[in-house]
Amino acid sequence: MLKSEWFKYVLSFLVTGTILVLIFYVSDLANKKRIEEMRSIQDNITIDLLSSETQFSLLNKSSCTQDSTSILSSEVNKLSERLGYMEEKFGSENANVISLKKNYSLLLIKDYLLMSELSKKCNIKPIFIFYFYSQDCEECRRQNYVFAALREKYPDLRVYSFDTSLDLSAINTLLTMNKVPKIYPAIVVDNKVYTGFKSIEEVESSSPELTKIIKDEAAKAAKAAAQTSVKLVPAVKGKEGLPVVEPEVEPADSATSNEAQP
Amino acid sequence: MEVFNQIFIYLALFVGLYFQVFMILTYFVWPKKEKNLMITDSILLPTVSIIVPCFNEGNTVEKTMHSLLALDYPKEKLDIVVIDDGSTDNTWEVVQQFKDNPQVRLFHKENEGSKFAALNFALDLISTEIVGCLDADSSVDSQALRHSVQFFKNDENVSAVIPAMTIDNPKNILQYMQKVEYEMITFSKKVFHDLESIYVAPGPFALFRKEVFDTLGYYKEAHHTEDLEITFRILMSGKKVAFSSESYVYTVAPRKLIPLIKQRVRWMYGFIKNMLDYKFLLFKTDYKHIGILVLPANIFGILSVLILVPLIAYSLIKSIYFFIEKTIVTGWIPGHVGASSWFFIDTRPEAIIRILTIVILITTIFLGRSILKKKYLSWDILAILIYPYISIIWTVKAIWNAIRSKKSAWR
Repeated sequence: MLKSEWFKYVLSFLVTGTILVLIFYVSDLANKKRIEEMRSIQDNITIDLLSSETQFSLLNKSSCTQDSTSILSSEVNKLSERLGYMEEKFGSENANVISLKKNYSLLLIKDYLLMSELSKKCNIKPIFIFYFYSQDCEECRRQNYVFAALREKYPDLRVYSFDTSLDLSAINTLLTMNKVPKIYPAIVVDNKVYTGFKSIEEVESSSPELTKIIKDEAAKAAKAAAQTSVKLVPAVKGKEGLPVVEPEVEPADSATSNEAQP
Repeated sequence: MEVFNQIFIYLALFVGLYFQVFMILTYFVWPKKEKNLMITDSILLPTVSIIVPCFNEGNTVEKTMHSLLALDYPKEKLDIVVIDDGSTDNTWEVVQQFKDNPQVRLFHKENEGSKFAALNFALDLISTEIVGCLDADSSVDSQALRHSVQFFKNDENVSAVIPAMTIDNPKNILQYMQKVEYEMITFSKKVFHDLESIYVAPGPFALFRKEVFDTLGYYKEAHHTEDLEITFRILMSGKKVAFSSESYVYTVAPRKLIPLIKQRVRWMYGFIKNMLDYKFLLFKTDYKHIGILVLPANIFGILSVLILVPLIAYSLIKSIYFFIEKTIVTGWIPGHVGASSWFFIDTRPEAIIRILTIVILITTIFLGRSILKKKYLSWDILAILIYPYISIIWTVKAIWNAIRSKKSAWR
C-alpha cells in the first residue's frame, strides 16, 4: 500500500480520538452541572429549613396562626426525582449518588423534626409517612412507583423516604425509634408500622387522618385548578421577603406549598 | 473485572466508531477521481456474454430475460446464455419463447447441487471479452451495461465491475428492511470503490473480464459463495473490482422470513468459511485496504451483531417489563412521557456514542439513497429497526453451522 494511504488511517484515528475525547468531556461536564444543580437545590432546602427554624424560635407560638406546615415543598420533590434518575443511570454504588442521598436523608429528618416541634407547639397534627426501603429488595421497586405516583397526585403530602442500605446512623435511629423490623419495604404512618408492598389505595386508607388530608388535597387541587393565577402571586412575593396575606380561605390544618411568613 | 469490562467496551466502541469515521471521511474527503467517459462509439464497446442460471425460476425468469433484451447495447455484441440448472418446474418451457432470438442461447443441464457448476458449464460456451451473470430473480436497467463496461476500458487493472443493487418493488416490512439494507450497502460499495477495495462481486450482474477465468481458473464450489471466492482470487492477482453506481439492478428480495434467513445464512456461512480458507489475507497490507480495513470491519460487524443485539434486546425487554410493572402498580398516568429538564437527558458516554452511531447509520442510508438517486426521506427507513433482531438469527445460525462445519443448503 502507498504511503499516502497510511495517512488516512492516522487521520481517521485522530478524528475518532477527538470525537471520543469530546464525548467524555461533554459527559463529564454534564455530570458536574447535574451535581451542582442538586447541591443548589439542597442548599435552598437547607436555607428554607433554617429560616423556618429560626423564625419559629423567634416568634414561638405566634406563628401558629400562619399556615406554616409546608416547608417540604416542590423543591424536595424535585430533588427526589433527580436523585432517582441519578441512581437509575449511575447506580446506587456511585460515590456522588451516595453522598447526595445521605444529604437528602438528613434534610428530610430535619424537616420531620421541625414539623413535630411545630405540631407540638401549635397543637396541630400533620401526617407523616415514613417509607423505608433497601437496595436488595424486589418489592421496593414497586413500592417506589407507588410513592412517586402519590407525590405526583398530592404534591404536599409528606413522604419521607429513606434508603436503609446507606447505613446512615440517623436513619438507623429512626428505624429503632419507630420499631421497624428489618423487613422492607416498611411504611410508618401515624405510629403504625406496615411491612411489605402496599398499593396506592392501601396507603391512602392507612389512617383516617391521611384519608382526610387526601380529601382536602383533592378539594384544594380542584380549587387551585380554578385559580392558578391567584396562587402564583404570593409564592413569588414570599420569596422576596414581602409580607404576604394568604388568599386561601381553607383552614390551616391542610398543607399548602407557600412558605410561612412572619 | 469491572475495569476490564469498561476498557473492553470502550475499546470496542472506539473500533466501531473508527470504521465509521474512516468510511465517512473517505466518502467526503478522499473520493476517487473518476475520468468517467461513456463509450459513445459502439465499435469500441467490448463483446459481452450474460449467463442466466435458473433453478425453478419459471415465475421470474421472463422478466429477467426481457430486461436483458431491452439493454441499450449493440445486438451483435451481446450474447445471452440461459442455463436451466435441472429445474423441476416450468422454467424450461417459459424460456422456450426466446429460442428463436439470435442473441439467446438455451441450455439444459442436470443439477449438481450448486450454482458454480452451472456457471462453469456456461463459461465453456463463451468467447466474448466480458462475461457476466444475472440471477433469474433479478432484472437490469437498460443503461446498466453501458455504464458498467466503461470501467473496463478506463482502467486496465479493473477485472470486475459490480452494479448498484436495489430491491425490486418491496411490499412487506421484511422487503423494506432489505431495501434500506441495500441502500446502506450501496454506500459501502461506493466507499470501498474509492479505496479500491471491494471484496465481493455478487451474483446479480457482476461483470468480469473473460481472461479472469482463463488465467485464474473457473468458479469453485467455495461453500456456495463462489462469487466471494473468485473475488478473493482477483484481488490476490493484484487486480481490482470497480463499482458502477449508475448501473441499476433490481432484485427480488425474499418475502418471507425463512427463505431470507436461509439466504443470509448461506452468505454469512460462505463468508466465514472463505475467510478461514483465505485467512492469510487478514492484516496484510499487500491488497490495498482489504486486509487491514475491509475484512476486519466485516468481521467486527458480525461480532458486534452477536454481542450488541442481545444487549439491546435485553435492555428493551427490561424497560418494557418495568413499564408494565409500573403501570400495573400505579395505573396509567397519561402525559408523563417527556423529560421536564435537561437534567434527565442521558449524557453518559455510551449513550452519546449510541446516538452518534444512529446518526451515522442514518447518514449512510441517506448517502446510499443519494448514490441511487432516490429521495432521502421516506417512511420505509423505519423498517431497518427490525434488522438487528432478524440479523442475529442468521448470524448465530451461520456461526453455529461454521463451527459444526455443516454445509448450508443452496436453496
